[in-house]
Amino acid sequence: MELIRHRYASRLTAEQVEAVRVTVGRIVRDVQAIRAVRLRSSHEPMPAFVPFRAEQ
Amino acid sequence: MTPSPIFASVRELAEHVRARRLSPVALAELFLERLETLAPRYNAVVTVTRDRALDQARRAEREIASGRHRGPLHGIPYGAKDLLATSGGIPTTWGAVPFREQRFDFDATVVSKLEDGGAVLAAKLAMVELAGGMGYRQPHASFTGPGLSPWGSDAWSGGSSSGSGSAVAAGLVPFAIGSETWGSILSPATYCRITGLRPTYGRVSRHGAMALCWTLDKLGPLALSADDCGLVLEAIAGRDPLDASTADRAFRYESADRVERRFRFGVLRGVADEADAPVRENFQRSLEVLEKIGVVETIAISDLPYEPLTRTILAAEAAAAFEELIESGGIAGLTAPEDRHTAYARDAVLAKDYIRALRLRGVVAREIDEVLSRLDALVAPTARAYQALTDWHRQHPPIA
Repeated sequence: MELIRHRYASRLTAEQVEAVRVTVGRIVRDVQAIRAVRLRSSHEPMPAFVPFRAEQ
Repeated sequence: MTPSPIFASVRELAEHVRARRLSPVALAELFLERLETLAPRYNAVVTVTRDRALDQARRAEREIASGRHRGPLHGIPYGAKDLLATSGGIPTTWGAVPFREQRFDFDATVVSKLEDGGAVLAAKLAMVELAGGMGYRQPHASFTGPGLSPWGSDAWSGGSSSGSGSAVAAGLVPFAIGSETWGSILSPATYCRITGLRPTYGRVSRHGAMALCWTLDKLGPLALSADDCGLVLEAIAGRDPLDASTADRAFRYESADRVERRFRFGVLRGVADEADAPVRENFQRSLEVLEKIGVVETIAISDLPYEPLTRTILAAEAAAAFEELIESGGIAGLTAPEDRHTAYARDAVLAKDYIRALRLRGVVAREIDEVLSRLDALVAPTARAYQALTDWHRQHPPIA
């Protein structure tokens, strides 16, 4: 939140800063939920990285 | 005698056009007149593309008269959500004030494919600004005003494909193209009481469509029936070298083999429990209809954070897609007050959490693929609320 306040607070009202803080709280809760699921290193991101080669 | 084309299905219109009982030019004139006079009631349209529509309709009329028939969409008017690029000086506004004068010099692949099929672009349709990507929480989130459903002056059309829903429901176009990142086709289809088809990701090219979330955005039809949606999907689906995410799998609606066996439908346990009573009752009646053609079974899926992972992906990608607008402070020019600051919070999403969400998405994809391998379809109500009253939605935020 401090980073966000540092970057954007100058263009926001106090009410908007508070609304942003609430939204950050939601993001944190979402992230906590996905961090709670145990993943193995074999669980790769989807979509997977695909090496690029221009079509001939 | 030819029945009124208004509220006729695409299939019916196509048969009359092919048999030359209906003139594509007369059809275009009819729907253009309705768009110009009735669309303002619903805040459904950004631009009526009269000149382009009449050019395309005249060409369709000439071709059909000469015996060349392109298929079921030949000579049929339609509207495109205003996030699809269109050439010829037609604005593509993304529903947002900062992009109100934006123009492209090419057509989105979907628009090109529909032109190849002979369809007639009659309007660029209103939408929630930036497809809801800045976090809107009420209907008044577009410079065209809140989208309204033809079924009630105080009823929201749903969003973000608001104009695509209300224009079809009001008989302003026979079908429309919308986009969905998270609910933006199904929501207006539901609240405008029409049919929306949100295709599988990769089925339809996104080239030329506004990017909100590269790995979640889909384009699809809204129409008066599932049959019409099938006809439109066949016209717009397919591999596109300009969109690397498109699947190289053919989609043929008309030539689909008849399935003689009984279908298998899955219903998630408790999926309608929190819906309004009319929604629950209608859902139950729908299941009874499905039981006539198949087996309906209650199923359960793993307890995984489906919504948090999707929100995390959406937040991170939308922040990147609109980085310049956000960082410059340009979001201050958006219509919905909450859209002017919500995106700043997305700096809180760490790269490792976005990647974790993508890894978890793989787990979810395999889980759902396993469930669907035993079923033909999962069935669920598309909304809990019976009617999306505009006041109601101010208190109950929609999901785009």
